[in-house]
Amino acid sequence: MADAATLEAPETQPHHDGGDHGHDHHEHHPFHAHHFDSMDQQFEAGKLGIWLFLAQEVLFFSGLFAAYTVYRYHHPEVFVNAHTHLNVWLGTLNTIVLLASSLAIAWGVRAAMRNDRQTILFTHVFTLACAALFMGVKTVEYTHKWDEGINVAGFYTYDESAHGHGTPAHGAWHERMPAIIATTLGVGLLVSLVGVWMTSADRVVSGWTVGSIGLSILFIGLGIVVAKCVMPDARQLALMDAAHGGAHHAAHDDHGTDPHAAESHAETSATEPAAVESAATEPAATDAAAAEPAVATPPDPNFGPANFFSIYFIMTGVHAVHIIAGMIAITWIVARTAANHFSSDYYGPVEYVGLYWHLVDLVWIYLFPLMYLIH
Amino acid sequence: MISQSREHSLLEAIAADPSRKVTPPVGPSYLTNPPGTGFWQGVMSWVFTLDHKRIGVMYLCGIMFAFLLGGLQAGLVRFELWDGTPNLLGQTEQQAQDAYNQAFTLHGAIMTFLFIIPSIPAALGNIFLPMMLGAKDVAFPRMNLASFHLWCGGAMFFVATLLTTGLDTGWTFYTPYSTTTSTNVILATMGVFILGFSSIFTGLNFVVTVNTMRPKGMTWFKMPLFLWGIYSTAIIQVLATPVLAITLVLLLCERTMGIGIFDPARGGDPVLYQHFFWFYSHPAVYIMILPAMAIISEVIPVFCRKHIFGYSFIAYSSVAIALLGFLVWGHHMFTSTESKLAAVIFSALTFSVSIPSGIKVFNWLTTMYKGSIRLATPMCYALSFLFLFTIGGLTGLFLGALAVDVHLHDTYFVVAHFHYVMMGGTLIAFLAGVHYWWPKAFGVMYNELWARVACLLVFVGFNLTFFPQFILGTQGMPRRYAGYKDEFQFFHQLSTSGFVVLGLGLFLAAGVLIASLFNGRKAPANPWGAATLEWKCCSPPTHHNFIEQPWVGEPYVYDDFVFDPDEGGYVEVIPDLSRGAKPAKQPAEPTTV
Repeated sequence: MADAATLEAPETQPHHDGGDHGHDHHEHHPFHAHHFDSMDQQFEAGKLGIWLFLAQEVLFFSGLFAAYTVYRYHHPEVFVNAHTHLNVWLGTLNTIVLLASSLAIAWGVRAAMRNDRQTILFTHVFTLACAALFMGVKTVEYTHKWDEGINVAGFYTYDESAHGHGTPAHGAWHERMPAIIATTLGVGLLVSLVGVWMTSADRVVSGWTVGSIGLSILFIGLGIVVAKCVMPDARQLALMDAAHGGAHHAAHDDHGTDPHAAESHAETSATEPAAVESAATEPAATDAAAAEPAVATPPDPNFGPANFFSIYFIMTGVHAVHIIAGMIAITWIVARTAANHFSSDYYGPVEYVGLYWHLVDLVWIYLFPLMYLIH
Repeated sequence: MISQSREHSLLEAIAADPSRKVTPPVGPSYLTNPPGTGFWQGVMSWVFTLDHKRIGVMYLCGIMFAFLLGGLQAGLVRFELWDGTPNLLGQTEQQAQDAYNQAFTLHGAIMTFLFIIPSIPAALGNIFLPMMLGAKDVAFPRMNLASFHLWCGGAMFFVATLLTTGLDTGWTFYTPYSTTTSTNVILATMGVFILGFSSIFTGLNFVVTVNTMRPKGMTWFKMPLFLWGIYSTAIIQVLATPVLAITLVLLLCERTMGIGIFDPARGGDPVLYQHFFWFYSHPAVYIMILPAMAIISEVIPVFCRKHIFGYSFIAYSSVAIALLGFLVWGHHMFTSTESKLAAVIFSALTFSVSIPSGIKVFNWLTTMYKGSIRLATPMCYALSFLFLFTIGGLTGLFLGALAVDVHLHDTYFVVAHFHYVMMGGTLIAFLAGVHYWWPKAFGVMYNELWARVACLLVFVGFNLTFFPQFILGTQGMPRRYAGYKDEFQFFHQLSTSGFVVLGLGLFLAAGVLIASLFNGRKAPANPWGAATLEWKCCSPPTHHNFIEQPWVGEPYVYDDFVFDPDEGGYVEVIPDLSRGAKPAKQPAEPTTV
C-alpha cells in the first residue's frame, strides 16, 4: 500500500538535480518543480494525481466490499447473528471522531488558502488526535475480541456454548491493557511536552513534528481509556445477553425459510453433496436447532461467524492501515506548515492530504453500517 | 503520400536556402554524465535519476532480463515436450511433472507481470511519452522513479521464488490449490502485489502528464496515436490493478490465516477468486495489447509516407477497448459454474471487443493502401504484427463463442491464441517500437540488413512454434500437461523446432541492436521522416529533451519532410518566410490548463 506521502512527494518538493532548468520567465516560487510551466499547472497536475489515486483506492476497497456483498447475500443470517459481537457504541464513537476529523481537515485546507498558518497547524493536529483516538478505540475492540477467541477464521476459537454471549473482559490482552494505557499516556505526554519545549526553544519544525507524534501516542492511550469506559461491564453484559438470546432465536427461525439460503445450497450442491441433505432437512430441524445457541449451527456447515469476522478484520484492518498512512501524511503536513512552506500560492499538499483523509473517512462511513448496524 | 515532384522541389528549396531546413540544436546526451564524474557518482546518477528517459532505459534493461528469464523457462517447457515421456526435467514421471508445473508457472508469471505489462508503457512509454508532448518530464518524476524501484523489488521476489521452492500454481494462482500447495506462493504473490503498485504509479503518471502537460496547439485530437493508446492503457492500469492487489492480499491472508474467503473447506468460494482475478487480468490483457496497437499506429503511417487513415476512429477505438475490456472478465469462467445468462452476456460483450480491434486493423490496412511503403525493420515488424494479431484476434472469437469454448477450454488452442495476441501482438510491436525509436533513444543506427533477417527469423519461428498448437488444441491436447499420447508428437516437435528458430531470431535481433551501440552509424535527428515531436530534438536527446521548444504540427502530415543526404536523415522544410508566406505552424508555448 502506498502511503499518501509517496504520492505527494514528487510534485511538491523542489528538485535540485543539477543543471540549469531554463526558468527565464517570471519570479520563481521555491516549490515550483522544473518541469511544470507554471504553479497552476503544477497544482492541477497534483490534484488530478490525487483524484486518480483515490479512484485507485476505491477500487482497492471494492474487492472487499464485493466479497462482503456476495457472502452477505448468500448467508444473511450469519451476518446478522455474528455482528452482535460488535459494540455499536464504540462504532458510533469512532464514526463521530472521524467525522469531526474530516471537518477539521477541510477547515485546515480553507485556512491554507487564506494564508492562516496557525489554523492549519491546529486543525491538522486536531485531526491527528482524532485519528489516534480512533486507533485507540479500535485497539480495544480488536483485543477484546482476540481475548474471546474471535479472530479471522483460521484462528477462530470462540465457543458460544462455553462463553455465553458477550463474555466479561478477561484474557491476555485484557491483563496487559493497564500497562499499555500507562505506557501510551506516559510516553505520549512526555513526547508532547518535549515537542512543546522544542517549539518554545525556537526549533519550530522539529517541535511541531515531535509534538504531533507525542500527541498521537497520547490520544491512542486516551482512546483506549474512553473505549474501556464505554465497554459494558460484566453486569451489563449479563443483562444484554438475556436480551440478545431471544433475538438470536428469532433470527435463526427466519433462515430456515429464507429463499436465499436454500438457493445457495442448491448452487453449491455439486461440490458439497452433504449440503443438499442439510438444506432438505433444515425446516424440520429448526425446532431442534432453536434450542441450541444460534451462531453455532449456520445452514452451510462451513460458513459461520468465523467468516464474518474474517471479513470484519480484513476490512477494518485495511482501513486502519490507511488511517496510519494518513497520520504519517498529516504529520508531514504539520511539519511543512511549521516550516512555513504553505501559502495561498502553494497549498497543494495540504489539499491532497485532506482529500485522502476524506476518502479514509468515507470508507469508514460505509464500513460502520455494514458491520455494526445490520438487521 | 508525397509525390516525387514535391520531394524534388523541397530539395531544391533547401539547396537554395539552407536556413529553411529545421535542424534541432545538438546538446549533451542524456546518456552520459559530464566529464569528471566519478564511477559511483555515475552509478548513482542512474539509480536515483529523475530523468524519464534514464528511467525508461533502466526499465528496458530490466524487462529484457525478465524476458530472458521467462524465455529460458519457456525453453524448459518446450524441450520437456519434445516427446511424451519424462526427459529433460526429471527421471521419473512425478519429478518431470512437478518440474514442468514450475517451469510453465514461472514462464507465465514472469512473462506477464515482469515483462509484457511493463514492456511498452514503462520502457518505451517512459522514454517517449513526455517527448511526444514536447515536455521536459512526466508530471511526477519521483513517483516514476519509485515505480521502477518497485519493479526491481517485485522482480527480486520473483527471483527469490525461483531460487527457493519455486511456484507451481500457474500464473493465475487459482484457489484452492494456491492456498494448499507447498511451493512458495507467498513470495510470488507479494512480488505481484508490489509490481501492481509499480504499474499503478506508471499509469497514474501518464494520465496526469497527458491531461495537464500537453503543449499549446496539441489538442486531444492532434495527439499522436501512441499517446491515445498509452492513455487508455494508463486508465486501465489505475482502475484494474488495485483489484488484483486486494485479491492478492486476500489470497495471502487465506494462505497464512485461513480467512475462509476463497477456501471451500472454510465456507469460501474459489470461483469468487476467479472473478476477482480476471476482473484485473482480463483488462490487463488490454494493458498488454493497447500500447502495442499504439506503436503500430505510429510506425505504419511513417513508413507509408501517408497520413494515418481514420485518426479519430483509431483514437476512439483505443478508449472503447479500454472500457469494454472491463466488462468481459466472465468469459474466463464459462466452464466454472457460471450461470447461462451471465455466460451469454459475457460472450456477447466479448464479441463486441472485436469491433474496435477490427476498426484498428482496417484503418492500418487502409493507411497502407497506395502508400509508398518502405520495408525498413520497424515496418517489417509492423507487418508481422498485422498478420499475427489478426490470427490471434480471430481465434479469440472462437473462444468467446460459448459452445466452441466448452470444447477448446484449457487446450493448446487457448495457449496458441494468447501467444498469437501477446507474443505475436505485443512482443512483435515492442520490437517494432524498439527498432523504430532506437536511433532516437541511443543515437545510433543499427544494421538494417541483419535486423530484417532477425525479423524474418522471428516471424517464421513464431508461426512454427505456435501454429501447430492450434491444431493440437482442436485435437484435444490439454494445456499444462508434461506428457502426451504419441499422436501429438509430430506437432509438439514442430513447435519445439519453431522455438529454436524463434530463439535464434530474438538473439540475433538483440545482437544487432547491441552491436549498433558500439559500431553503429551516428543517427540523424529524424532518420525515418516522422512528424511527431520526439523527432524534433537531437538524437540522443539532452537531459531536458528540447533545447528549443518544438513547433506543434500535425502528427501525420509528411508533406514538408524530405530526405537530406547531407544530414543522412529527414529534415523539415519550413515555408519561405522572406517571400511573405505565413508560417503554417505556431511555435509551442508554455500553457496552463
